[in-house]
Amino acid sequence: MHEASIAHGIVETVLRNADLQKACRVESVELEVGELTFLNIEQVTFWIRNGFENTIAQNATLTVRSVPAKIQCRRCHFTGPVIMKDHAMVHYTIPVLTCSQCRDSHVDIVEGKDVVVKQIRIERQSQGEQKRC
Amino acid sequence: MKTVLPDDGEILDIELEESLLAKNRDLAVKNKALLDRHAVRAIDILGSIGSGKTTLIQQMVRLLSKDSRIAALAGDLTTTIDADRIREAGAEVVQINTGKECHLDGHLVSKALNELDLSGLDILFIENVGNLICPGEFPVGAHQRMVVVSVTEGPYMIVKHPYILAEASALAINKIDLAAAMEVDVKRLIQDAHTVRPGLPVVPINGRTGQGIPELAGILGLTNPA
Repeated sequence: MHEASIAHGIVETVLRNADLQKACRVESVELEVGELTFLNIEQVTFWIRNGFENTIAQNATLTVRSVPAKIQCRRCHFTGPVIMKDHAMVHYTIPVLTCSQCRDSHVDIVEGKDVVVKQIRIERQSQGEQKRC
Repeated sequence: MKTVLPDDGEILDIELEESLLAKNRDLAVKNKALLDRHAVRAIDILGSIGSGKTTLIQQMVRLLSKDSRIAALAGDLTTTIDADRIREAGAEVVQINTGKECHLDGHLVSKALNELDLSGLDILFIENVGNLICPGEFPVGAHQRMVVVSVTEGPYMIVKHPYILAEASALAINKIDLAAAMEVDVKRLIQDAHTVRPGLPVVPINGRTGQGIPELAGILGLTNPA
């Protein structure tokens, strides 16, 4: 259930930054979730929506982009995507963490392991202005 | 933080680029630096409930405590059952009860490290909370990560959890004495692990008898294999 704690962190990040910018409404939130994280995007989205309830982000549009995994080979320094292999017996695709150029197995994961709040779009109340939102 | 202001109106795009996992990674780096300062080698042990993590640590402590000073952090939602078992084997133990959280993280491990006299230690085993999903997300500052699966969990543990092997230094396949009864092909599990991570050291073990434990300790660099 770490989706809930990650989602809580996302909600806190969005609302803290919206507050810093004196926002009266959060219009949209853009997230990136790495392919090699252990997160289910649908579940994370559910918990974020849950956390946004009764806040200025209640009606925010939520966009989540999945970031493909990328590895770097320690031997030949090739940087590229992780090979995905179909496992016919279980109808599932499993990652093959090896260099697709020289086949060495000493590789580092350089992308696809993070969860990032990329951008938020907010509406701000101007000083002296009548309430906008 | 970059702020993009529109020409008029009051809609603003705020570029945050704020990582949710960066704070944990920073704490993990600090934990590792602290362990390095005291020349303590730390192994993060991941596996499901009942896979045999505690038994494996007990056997490691029995094997290594003659030549090394060992401590363990026992992560669990609740109870001190595992901590008591490891203490009986002869290691100093700090219990970390996460309450409801499904994994250890850099913060909890950093608090637990404060409870230990690191200057008197050589090896630290960190028994993570029992599951093969959530702990994968949160490095705690260990030098190596070992994954434990047992044949009693069925024949599909690796194909169902391939990502947990991404940053593992070794895989232990436990309870191999029960493989025939469980109708699990250990060779197939090894093959699955090598599909995900070609060359990953995989050691079939029997935690009850200690079979395979010396080989595993050697692979993790905790002994000088004869």
